[in-house]
Amino acid sequence: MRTILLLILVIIPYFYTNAQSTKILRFDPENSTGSSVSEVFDEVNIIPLETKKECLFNTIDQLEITNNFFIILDQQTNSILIFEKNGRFSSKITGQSIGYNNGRNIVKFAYNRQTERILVPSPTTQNETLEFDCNGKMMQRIKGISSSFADLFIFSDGTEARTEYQADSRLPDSIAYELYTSKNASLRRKYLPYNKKYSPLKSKDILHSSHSKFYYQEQDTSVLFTRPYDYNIYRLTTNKLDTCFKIILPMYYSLPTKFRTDTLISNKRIQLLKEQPNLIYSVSNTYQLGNNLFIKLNSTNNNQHFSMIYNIISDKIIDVSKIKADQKSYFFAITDAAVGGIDFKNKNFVNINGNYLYTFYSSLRFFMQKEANERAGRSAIYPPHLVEYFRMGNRGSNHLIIQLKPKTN
Amino acid sequence: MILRKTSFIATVLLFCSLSILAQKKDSVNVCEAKGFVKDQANNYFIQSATVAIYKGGTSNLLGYTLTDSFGSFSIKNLPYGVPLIVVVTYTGYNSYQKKIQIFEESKLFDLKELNLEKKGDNIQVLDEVTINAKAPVSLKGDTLEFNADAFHLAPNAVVEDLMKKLPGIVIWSDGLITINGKKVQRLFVEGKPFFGGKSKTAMQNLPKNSVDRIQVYNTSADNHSIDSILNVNIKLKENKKTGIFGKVSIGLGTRGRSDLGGMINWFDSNTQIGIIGAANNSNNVPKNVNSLIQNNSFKGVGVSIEYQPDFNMPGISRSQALGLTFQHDFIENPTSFKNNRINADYFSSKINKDILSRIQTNFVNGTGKNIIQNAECKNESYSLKQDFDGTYSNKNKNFDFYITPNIFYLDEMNSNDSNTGTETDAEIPLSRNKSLDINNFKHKKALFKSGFKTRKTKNSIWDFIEFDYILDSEITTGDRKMLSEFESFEDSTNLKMFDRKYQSQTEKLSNSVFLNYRKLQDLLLKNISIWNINIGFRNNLTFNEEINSSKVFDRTSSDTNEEYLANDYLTNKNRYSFLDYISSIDLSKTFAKAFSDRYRKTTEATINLQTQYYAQKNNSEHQFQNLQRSYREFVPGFKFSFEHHKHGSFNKVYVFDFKSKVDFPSIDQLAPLTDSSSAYLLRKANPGLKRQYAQTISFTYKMSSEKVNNNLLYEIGFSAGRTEDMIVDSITYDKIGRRSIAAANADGHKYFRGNALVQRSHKIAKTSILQLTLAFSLELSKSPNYINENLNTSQNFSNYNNINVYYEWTDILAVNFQQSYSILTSTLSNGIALKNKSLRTIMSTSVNLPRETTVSSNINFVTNKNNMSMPNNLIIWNANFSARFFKGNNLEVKFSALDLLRQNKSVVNYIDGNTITTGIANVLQNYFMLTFSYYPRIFRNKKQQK
Repeated sequence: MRTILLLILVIIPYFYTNAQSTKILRFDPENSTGSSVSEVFDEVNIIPLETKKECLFNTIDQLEITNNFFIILDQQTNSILIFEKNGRFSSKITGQSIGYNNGRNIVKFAYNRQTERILVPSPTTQNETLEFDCNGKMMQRIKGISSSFADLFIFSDGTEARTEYQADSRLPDSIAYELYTSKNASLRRKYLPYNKKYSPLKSKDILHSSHSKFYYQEQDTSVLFTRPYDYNIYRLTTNKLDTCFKIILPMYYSLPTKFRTDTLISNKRIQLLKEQPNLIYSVSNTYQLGNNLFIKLNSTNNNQHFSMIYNIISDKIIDVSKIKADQKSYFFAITDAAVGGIDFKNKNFVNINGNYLYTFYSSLRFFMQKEANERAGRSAIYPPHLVEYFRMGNRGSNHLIIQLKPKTN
Repeated sequence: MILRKTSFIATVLLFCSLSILAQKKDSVNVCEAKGFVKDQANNYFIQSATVAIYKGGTSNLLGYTLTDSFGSFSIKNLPYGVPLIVVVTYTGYNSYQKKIQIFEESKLFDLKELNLEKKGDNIQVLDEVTINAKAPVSLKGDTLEFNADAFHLAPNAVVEDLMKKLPGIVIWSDGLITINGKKVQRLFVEGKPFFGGKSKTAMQNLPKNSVDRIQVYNTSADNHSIDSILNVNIKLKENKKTGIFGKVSIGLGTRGRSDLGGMINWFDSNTQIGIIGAANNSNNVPKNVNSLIQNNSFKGVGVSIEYQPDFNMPGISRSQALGLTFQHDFIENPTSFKNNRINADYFSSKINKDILSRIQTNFVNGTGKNIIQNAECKNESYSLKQDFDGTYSNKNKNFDFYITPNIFYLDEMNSNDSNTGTETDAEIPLSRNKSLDINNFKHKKALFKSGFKTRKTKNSIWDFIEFDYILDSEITTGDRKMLSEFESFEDSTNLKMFDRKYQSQTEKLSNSVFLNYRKLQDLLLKNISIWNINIGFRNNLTFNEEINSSKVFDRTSSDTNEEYLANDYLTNKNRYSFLDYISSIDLSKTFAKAFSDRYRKTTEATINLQTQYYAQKNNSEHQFQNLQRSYREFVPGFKFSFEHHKHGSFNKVYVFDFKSKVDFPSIDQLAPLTDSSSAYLLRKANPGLKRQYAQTISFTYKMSSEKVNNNLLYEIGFSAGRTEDMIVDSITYDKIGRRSIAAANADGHKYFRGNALVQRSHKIAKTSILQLTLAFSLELSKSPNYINENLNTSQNFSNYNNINVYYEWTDILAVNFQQSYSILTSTLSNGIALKNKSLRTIMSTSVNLPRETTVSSNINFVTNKNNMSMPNNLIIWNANFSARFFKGNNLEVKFSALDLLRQNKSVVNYIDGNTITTGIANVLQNYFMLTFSYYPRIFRNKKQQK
């Protein structure tokens, strides 16, 4: 009976998802090519974020972009910091002021691009969300479907999509859904069901990546969604879930076909991945801009980092680490990996807004890159705000946002 | 999967790039070659590709670097008018080679774009292939690798010679290795400790040519810790993983001096076995297997300041020693957190030592009439020591286990023939004593230690437990004969003669258990956190029992036919036992704040709520020695540490520590048996003696710079302490200078200490290294004692300053200058001051001459002055000439001239409380020695040997 149930659970997603428009992308990381910044991007903007005592932060754990602001979550300082688009500090929401204290930190927030409101799960009340405006002012407490564990995405019509996965043999024998949508606190659609007690994939098997599993698209009528041990990239709209891309990797990097469903490896998956660090366990940071799909392939090997751009028309693959900086980026590599940093390796491209893609750099790495350029005789004419930054800032200053506009072809 | 740490190795590379480029700069080496490395087929510029430039037609490496993120490189200080070969290598690609020549007029060669092709693509056909060289440096993941073959050194160079050439690496004159200011904690060969684990053993014996590559990498200090430690691993070539190295040497000198040695060590991938023997009569007394191995190091082609015989060591020692060492790894590739290893060391030594000394001790007794004791002693000793140490250790990710058995045997004989006399400071004789004391004892000891440690596994209650058990069983048997004749000139009736024999046996059995549970809050509070305070429960229980039986016999006349009669007072059977239980609740809290790519600050505070229960019991045939006491004390501790690491700049550590400690009086202090045959020193009882309670606070600050070519380490420390009821000597002098000493309690002990150490190393271009070490220490203290029942508090001041400058120029010259100056003064309560000053200067130099010859010399000036006797000066000058022969430098002939200025004496000089002691002792005398040494050295695997 249990086997039949499991079989049904495996098959069900195929009824819910429509594979007709799925494009197969063959990724051979070994055969990616390089390029230069000016060949890949139309525009590169470097925005240093203001440094002063009240807005000093550790790193950017989450970045949301509004028309006027950068909203940054820094878990270590337990705060959501709001900077103007020119980098000037505007305001902040401290975790302590809203009840995140005694070792509890804000670990995620959501941003409603329509209402321009910041949504933070209540630290004290289940199913309650705190809503703030972009000046950091609390507007209201909203009751409804909420779980502090879930990743949240809000469509332009107000439909909310959530994803969470909790499977453990100690949980009740009941069906849950990995992905569901709701509107006005009532459930609308449920996708990807699993049995909380008997699912072969347990919560302990999941290696989380740093980003939420939802990735904005140029138009916010749809969102891309990925999950661990699944090489499909799903497109979710307010009423439909599609598999829009299917990644096929060379055998050397590829998980065994039943890796997600094999009951024999329950609770052992993370150990198995550590023993075979070359295996790609998930696909993340998927952003489609024009014909280019940006993608990150994750493995447990600290020395294996694949951040790629797949052109879905020409099927050409560019390795982001092989994009050479040039005058367009003032000879700054677009990621800190070129100067020994780990921010890009960990966080990759953190978000998009319209046609722009975003990542960030620490000031230490930025200054190191500048000094390396000066030693090598690479000189660029910096825009005034960067001249000012180099004059006033130092290696300990706040991070810089890198805003990139990829070419559309 | 989140990377939590900034890559130190990657940062090393970035900061290192300049030093890699640094070449010897002169009027010829003024040119530059630059270009880009590109994978044309895949349209990208390759980062971290290795570009090396060799002198044409040779494999002489002139410069090398790694390409930056633009694929670009620039190598400076190249010669003009010489054919050069550029070699570019990168993992997964065919190497690229190109001949170039730079002209004097242009001084720059732009190679523009150098195209690499992937292996397996079309094979790159190069019509210019001229040399087959490996990339000097490469980055494999987070491991920086230096390929040994890329560095061309003399054929007989060793690993140490190679490491001195590598960028960012500093080998300090005291043996410390740092890489960009960070200390190398462990040096492995094939991932394992090499013949005892001392880095010098591997660095000075393994030939550079047997090394494939030197790897530098970080591992975390503990499996779950964010702190990281730096490791160096020497990876041997596939066909050099088996080796034999050793030394056979014969040294013959004037005055009958000889120095013989032999060592043979064999190793393969899993096993290391060594046998070492030594025999000499030149005061070179080895202490253990490790010191034997280090004395026989091959050393390479570089210069070094060598060990010299100690001409300050009193007496002449003849020693023979034998050592065996064994290590076997049961798993192929052990790591710091996974190993299964057995070690066994055996060490045996036989030492004969003769000391002739003439010592004067000035007792300042506060009466204004000081007593001076003059002693002439002839001391002969013999000892046979055998020591076996074994260790089995098994470590895995969550669990460490070890067993260490130790068996020790010592057979020692001491004969002391002395003539002692006392006189007033006006040289009026007061008394004399002639004694012959022959003491023979055998000590057998079996020590067994075993324990385990768990780390965090599954959040179970079995995490973070440390357990150790120690069993110590010892038997000491003694046989002593004492003949003495004491005469007082003050009182002619006071003539005492002793002919006394002692037979004694002590049996000791001690059991200790240590248990530390570092997560008590999880057990008691079920994961309820109280301000994230970690609660540990530490227990140390020792039960010790000693049965001591002694039989003492006296003969009252010098008639050898007379029988010895039992001495009822000193003949005794004693059973002494104590139980020591230390229990502590340790409260600790760690605050860590790390700002990505900026800094990491870690603060840790620990409070030890420690109590100690100590119970002692003594049963003796003498009623006054029967006692039973117990103590209960609160001995708290507190430690606060703060570490600030700023990426690429510095690492600073501040530690504040408060400790308290209790010492309990021993039975020998409470109720000793007074042996009156000891003419000038009689022990008296004090049954009312209390325990002493000491409290100390200390502060240390350590800084290490992480800047390339400017390695700076410094350390500053202060400590202060006070002791309540300190157990001190209460000394009573009689009219003729005899002392009777009883232990007594006195308050008023206080001290303050300060010390500073600065170490700086500077690489000058590629050719020279200058290292500077400054050390300073200061102590102010008040130490009480009783003199003739009056409390005397001596105010002591001591100061020590040391400067050490070491300079090394290529492989040719090493110079070391070391000077230390120390002052010690002790002012008694009555204002009388004892002062002592000492200045020591050592100048050493070593020069490598052509044809593998070396000349070295060192001069050691010592000046001692004190305000109670004449100053003492000493100049010891030694010189050596050595030459090495054969292709592998296997034969060394060395001529040494020692103590050329014929000082022939050693100086004894110290202040202790109210006494100042000066004198001289016999030492090694001027001699010349010719030494022949042969170093068997075979490094290849078994197949090749066949």
